[in-house]
Amino acid sequence: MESISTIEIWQIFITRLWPVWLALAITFSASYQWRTKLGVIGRIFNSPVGLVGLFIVLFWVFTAILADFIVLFDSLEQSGLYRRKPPGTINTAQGIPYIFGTDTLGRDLFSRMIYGSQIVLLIAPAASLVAYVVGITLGLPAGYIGGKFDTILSFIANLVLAFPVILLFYLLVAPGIRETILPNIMAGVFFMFPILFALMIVYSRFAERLNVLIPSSIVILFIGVWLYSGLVFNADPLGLVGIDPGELNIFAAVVFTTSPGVFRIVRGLTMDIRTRDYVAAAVTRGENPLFVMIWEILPNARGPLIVDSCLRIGYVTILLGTLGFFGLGMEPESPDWGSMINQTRSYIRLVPTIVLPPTLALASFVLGLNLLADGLREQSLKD
Amino acid sequence: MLFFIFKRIFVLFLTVICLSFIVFTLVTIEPNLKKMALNQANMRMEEAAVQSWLDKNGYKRPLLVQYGEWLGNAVQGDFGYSTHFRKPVNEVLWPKLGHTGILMFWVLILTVPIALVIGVLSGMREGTKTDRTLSIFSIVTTSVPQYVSGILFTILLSSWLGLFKGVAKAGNITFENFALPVLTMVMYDIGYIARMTRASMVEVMGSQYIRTARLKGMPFMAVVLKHALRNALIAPFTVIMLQFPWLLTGVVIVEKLFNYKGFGSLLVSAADQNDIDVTLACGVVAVVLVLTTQLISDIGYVFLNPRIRFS
Amino acid sequence: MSDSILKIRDLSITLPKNADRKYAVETVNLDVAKGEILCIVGESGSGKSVMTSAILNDVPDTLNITSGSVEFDGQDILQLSQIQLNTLRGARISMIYQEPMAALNPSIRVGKQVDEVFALHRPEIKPKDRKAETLKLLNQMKLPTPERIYSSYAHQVSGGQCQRIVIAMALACNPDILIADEPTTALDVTTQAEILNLISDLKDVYKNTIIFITHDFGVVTDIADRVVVMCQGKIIEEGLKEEVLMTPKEPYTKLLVDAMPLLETTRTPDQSRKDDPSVIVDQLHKIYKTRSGQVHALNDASFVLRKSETLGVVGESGSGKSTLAKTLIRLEEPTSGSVNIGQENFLSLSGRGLISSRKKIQMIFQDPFGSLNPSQTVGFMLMRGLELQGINTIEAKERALELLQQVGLGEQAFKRKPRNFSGGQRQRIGIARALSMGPDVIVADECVSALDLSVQKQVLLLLNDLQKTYQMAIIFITHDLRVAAQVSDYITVMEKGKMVEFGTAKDVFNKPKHEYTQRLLEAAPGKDWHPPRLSPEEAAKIAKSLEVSS
Repeated sequence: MESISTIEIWQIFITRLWPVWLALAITFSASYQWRTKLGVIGRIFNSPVGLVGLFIVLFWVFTAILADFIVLFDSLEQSGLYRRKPPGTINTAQGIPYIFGTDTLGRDLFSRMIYGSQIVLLIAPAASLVAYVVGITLGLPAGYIGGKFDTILSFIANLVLAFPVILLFYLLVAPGIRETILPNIMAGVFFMFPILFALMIVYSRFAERLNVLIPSSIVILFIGVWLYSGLVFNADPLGLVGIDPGELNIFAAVVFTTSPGVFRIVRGLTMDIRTRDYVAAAVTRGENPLFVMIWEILPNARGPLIVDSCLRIGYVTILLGTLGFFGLGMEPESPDWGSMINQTRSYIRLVPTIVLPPTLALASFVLGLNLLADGLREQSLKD
Repeated sequence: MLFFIFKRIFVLFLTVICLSFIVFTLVTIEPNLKKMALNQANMRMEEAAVQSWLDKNGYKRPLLVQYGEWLGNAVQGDFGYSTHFRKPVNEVLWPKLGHTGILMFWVLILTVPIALVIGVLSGMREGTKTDRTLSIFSIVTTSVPQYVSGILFTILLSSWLGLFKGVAKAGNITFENFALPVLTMVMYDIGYIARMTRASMVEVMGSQYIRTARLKGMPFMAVVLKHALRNALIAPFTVIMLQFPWLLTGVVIVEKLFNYKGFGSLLVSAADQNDIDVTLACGVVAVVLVLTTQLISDIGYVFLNPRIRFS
Repeated sequence: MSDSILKIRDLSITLPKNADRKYAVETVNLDVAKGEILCIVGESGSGKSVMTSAILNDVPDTLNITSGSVEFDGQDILQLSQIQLNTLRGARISMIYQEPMAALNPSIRVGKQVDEVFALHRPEIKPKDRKAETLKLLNQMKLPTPERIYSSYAHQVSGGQCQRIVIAMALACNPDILIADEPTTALDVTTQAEILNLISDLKDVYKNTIIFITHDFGVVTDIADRVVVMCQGKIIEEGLKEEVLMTPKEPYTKLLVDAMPLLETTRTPDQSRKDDPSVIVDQLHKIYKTRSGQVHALNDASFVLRKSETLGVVGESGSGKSTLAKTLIRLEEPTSGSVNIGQENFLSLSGRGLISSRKKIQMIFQDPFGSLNPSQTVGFMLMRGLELQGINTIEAKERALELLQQVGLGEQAFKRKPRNFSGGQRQRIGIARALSMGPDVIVADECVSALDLSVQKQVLLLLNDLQKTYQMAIIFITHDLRVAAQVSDYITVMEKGKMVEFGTAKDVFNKPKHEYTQRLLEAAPGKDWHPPRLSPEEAAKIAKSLEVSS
């Protein structure tokens, strides 16, 4: 077997990533120019820790977007000849090296790692976003109005949080479940929240101005129902939007486990902010509770929530990895990092490096998010 | 105070019942039942044979009846029968819980002091090099989940340096056996506790009474030890207690990684093969542990805080 | 100066990079004579706290001492080693400051915290004797039950008692100098009088030098020997009390002294009015249920107020004045009683009716930094109120700009967010916001308490002017008798939830009937002082020349 040296491996690695380096350079210099206009995000430049985090996160974002230009092989392309080969082995037939080696089915680890980023960068932020919408829509009234509504919701949140996560996943994401309608029910419930939230925003702001309220509500409902039918039932009339039922399952399970945490934080923040005088001023003005929650309280919870969202995306990434690790994730062919770790770890004795690409990829991404969150927190405290 | 505890215990029971019911429902859904039947009898059974097997073993009765039966037995301490191990659940559950308990003991003994010391040292003098280094260390460790760090440690210490084995045998309490699993778990747990301790320490060090102590002419370390710590460590205590759910997840991952046959492995294998009684028992035990630690955390918070205790 | 115990020379302390000026304290020179009480006066941001912190070399980490020396007992404090500094602190120079309860460790019994001072500086007192010494000290502080207090925690003791304990800690080793940084600002007027008496009594016993920081000229009149006036980090004027207070030389000092409200009132309401009142409050009660029983926070509040009239509600903490404010405006629901605004019974409304009637009574809040939503622009805040009344966007914007002008802010304020404004400006925005609803009644809850003297004066004048234009009835809540005197037609004094005195302002000040009112008036610092007054034109001229903004 021919192979290339370690130095050449890293050379190829760096050069293959040239679109990413370019994108990073453009983004950083542009944001640096406009940093005063970007608020908290702009002040990241004052924090070295935050900058490193941002760099890592954007690295993976651009890698995911530009994956097709970076990879050397197709992620599914198997090879009988080159199984479990060490990094640097060259595929003589195609003349391309497997710079990080191959897995047990002869697939290129480097390319699978790069494609894996697409999965993570699609699902983790999306699931976090939906979890946020659910958490905010329920946490705001729970914290502001309190009472029985709060007691019941907090009980449910504690219930879910007390549940051992692994058990929950086995029960919800096991292959058999996919055939039932349980995933669709869960997804159906969760995807209602964004629609509800959007309507709440519009209603609270324009309640008196019917000429704005009615058209915007109709538009929201239209878009909402379209996306809803596409995502939940895979029945998009236009055929643009749809998710594989397996992925939907995972998505719904992740949202389910993450929402209570967000709920708790939003509720806590709301209970703290509602004691401020400007909230009292809004109440004495005659604002309805919906307005107070969304326009007086929520914008001021922005700081801690942005910091938390970075941490939460990292946490969701780890969760997805855990799912893959237990074999509950995507189909085995998918280059999801967690599944990759699970599949390759039995061969550590043979080829120790076989497990490194997905492992280090996942760890670096989460590290980037945590560093970014820390930098943001530092800066928002100086507000 | 007593009323508060009773209320919480009541909520605990309510939660356990709700949770066990939900788990029961999910566990007895058609596909899961089918999976169990195939596991138990014959992997290649036809649909009709599956149905008759289920019926024969009482799995076709109404849900509430089955649940009620389980609940009735559970309250008396009988958690049923493990279809996988072919033994009563109690014979399987408690020994394995013990194995995990020993592992957890060592993890906590190491995690708590190390994390607290890191947190106090960095929060004591905010912004210094010590603080920055320790903070970054904490952030790095929280970014590396157990299935990542465990594997990395295995490669480093086991494959490369040949120091430890890559697996840990249950019941064998030796340094060599436990080193890797404990190390993996400790690494991940330190980060969060250290950061919370640091935050608490920073807040306390900025308060007025610390200034008073300083202006009395007290040396810095005395200020930290006598005045700051007793206020700064209240929050971390509650945080440590509340870490339990994550510890549980970590234990499950680590036990799978190192093939340690404890409670975590039991939970996973039971859920995987739909061993109903074991799954339910594990779920109940886990939830009770989580809620109990939450209760201890709340009681501790009131107890440690004179402002609340004597008000 | 002969007999100087402390000499500050050329002291300069810089602020962090993005502050509004370079120096917190700029080339300050000051001598403190032995045995005197020196008062340092200045508004917020004048640098007085930073300067006194430097005396103990305890400035915050973000500030930098770039030059100067603090000479004490032949040594420069700024050059001392940490160990030498620790020997000095608490033993030869002590400090007490503003929030007494925050100054004590909440988790250690207060007696032990006093013992610590002995442990640190008086090793000749054996450990078992320390408690006795502490009890002796607590007795000297005129604390009623020293034993019980010794084993209490800070939160179990009142604010005034906390401050006595802190003073005990500071004087335990009979220091040469006691630095007191606004020690009575957070206390009630009556408690303040007690503490001030205590400090001067103790001075006679201990014969120490006292450096006393305050923003209240009344306090200065009562206790000072010499006065130093600071502004923007520099010493503007210094001299004997009588000179500085009665015949100030510097324009800034003159302005400051002029801003001090008098303890007398000029307003005389027409008591024979027969027109319909703007607000009628009848037998208003509010009872809170706590773990240990009930608290009757508001007990039978009743009054009538007409257009253009102002009712001053005066009281100390716990008097029920904030409860009155909250229940009037229905931020909290009263337990019983009625509030009639115009013709409607305000308390009986609910739902849509309540929402549409809320505009008739509006509130101005105390804390300029918490009363405006930091994420909204000023324009949004003002227009929102108008939109709620059904006014369309274009007219609302016009009206909002008009309001801004009326409160003395320009058009540019419209697009900006609260963080760009000073405390006084924020209160103006708060007033504009309240006015945007077109209320008949305004409740002003300590709305000038957080402002500097000179700014306070401007805001009060503004309020008076606006009342002439809009003719709303104002319920003005304050703990400061002087402020109440400036704005009130009628005054009511509240104690423990009850309105113990009610009358015209003139009557209450000159012929108080209730003994509590008499006590309050007695306790007011500087009550015998008649500060020199400037005419409004002179004041405006000086303000302009100093470019003083509010």
